[in-house]
Amino acid sequence: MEYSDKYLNKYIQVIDIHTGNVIAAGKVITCKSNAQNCGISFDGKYFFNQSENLSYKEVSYADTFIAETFPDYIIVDHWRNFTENNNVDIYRDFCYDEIDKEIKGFIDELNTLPNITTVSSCCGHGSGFWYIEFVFNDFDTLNIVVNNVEAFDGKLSLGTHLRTGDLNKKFINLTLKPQIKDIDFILLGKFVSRLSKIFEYKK
Amino acid sequence: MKDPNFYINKYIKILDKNNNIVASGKCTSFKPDFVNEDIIYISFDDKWYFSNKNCIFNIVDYIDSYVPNEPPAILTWEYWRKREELKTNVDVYRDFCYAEIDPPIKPYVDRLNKLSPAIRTIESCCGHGKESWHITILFCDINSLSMFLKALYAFNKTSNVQIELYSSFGVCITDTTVQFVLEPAYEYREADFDLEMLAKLVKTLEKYFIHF
Repeated sequence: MEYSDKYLNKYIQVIDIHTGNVIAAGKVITCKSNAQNCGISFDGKYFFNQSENLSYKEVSYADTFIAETFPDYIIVDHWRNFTENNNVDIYRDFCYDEIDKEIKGFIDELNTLPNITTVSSCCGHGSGFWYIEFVFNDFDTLNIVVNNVEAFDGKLSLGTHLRTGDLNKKFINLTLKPQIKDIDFILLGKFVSRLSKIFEYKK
Repeated sequence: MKDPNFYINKYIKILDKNNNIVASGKCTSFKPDFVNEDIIYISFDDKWYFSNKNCIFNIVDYIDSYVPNEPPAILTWEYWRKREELKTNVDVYRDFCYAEIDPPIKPYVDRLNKLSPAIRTIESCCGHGKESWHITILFCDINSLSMFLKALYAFNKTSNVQIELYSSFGVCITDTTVQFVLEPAYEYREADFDLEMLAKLVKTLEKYFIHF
């Protein structure tokens, strides 16, 4: 299989093979891969796979464009269903603007830290069962985060709890979640604050 | 704090307060102290870990290996697995060494250690084949961890059960390694079934590490 991260930051047109129409275009800002598909995205929301219906064309520049509707033969499914449904042309994922508002402040702060990127999160709209999925591409940052998790004496855990199936070649996806109830996000707040201080200290 | 890796592969003579030799040899591994970061535990046999709490580490050009059957009475010691219950640090920790790995799980631990030089198991247990298993693994680079996760995802995708890799309360924390525990995430059925799943996972891992 190929890895979609090779398209990162390139300008691509996604073409409907049957009609030749461009159904999406722009600069690839993120991508996802699982064992069967690898998709590119221009908005972090729709991920276009190369398939029997869609192909990519690299261009020197293209304004961001995503068709408002897709032909019926193009299969669109939610990314969370990727394990059940691999025969998909376009995956729809939640984008940054759709993050649960109760957790968004923490996510914003985490993403300001160097080499820290979150790719998914949920807190059941405040029920307290939160998780945050990170993508790591350098070992030093992973080491800092793992050691920060361990400072919480087993109350937090970072691991493969959530299977996003994102198998980009150079990246590692791991999910942070509390091992005890953290309804008021006290643990999460402490984690983010401690991590921020570590990075501040390292400056 | 001195880099704990500093002692690895160095010949060291450990002396007590009265200048008597406590142990000596080539340092093969170490463990950190979770209370006082100036204290470090080093080992010559991966079994007894001597600290610099009440002893002195003298680095020498060469010295024969000497580890007593039990530390001298002047030093306090405890099993490593009981460290979280202790209110104070001890002079010496006793850990299980490679030769003492539970026999039912040992072949799989051996095979995990052969996957990559950047992957090393540091602890494991399967209740002598009567309980579920877990294996603590150190990863020394991002590529080995990435490949490990790919194989694990592939296994979980094609199996009816899930096995997880997650961070655990520290066994061996350094700036150059990350430590994770591998264990079944499904409800315990029976030890034989768990080991069968481990065998399948190890096979998948080997396939990934050889072919990719």
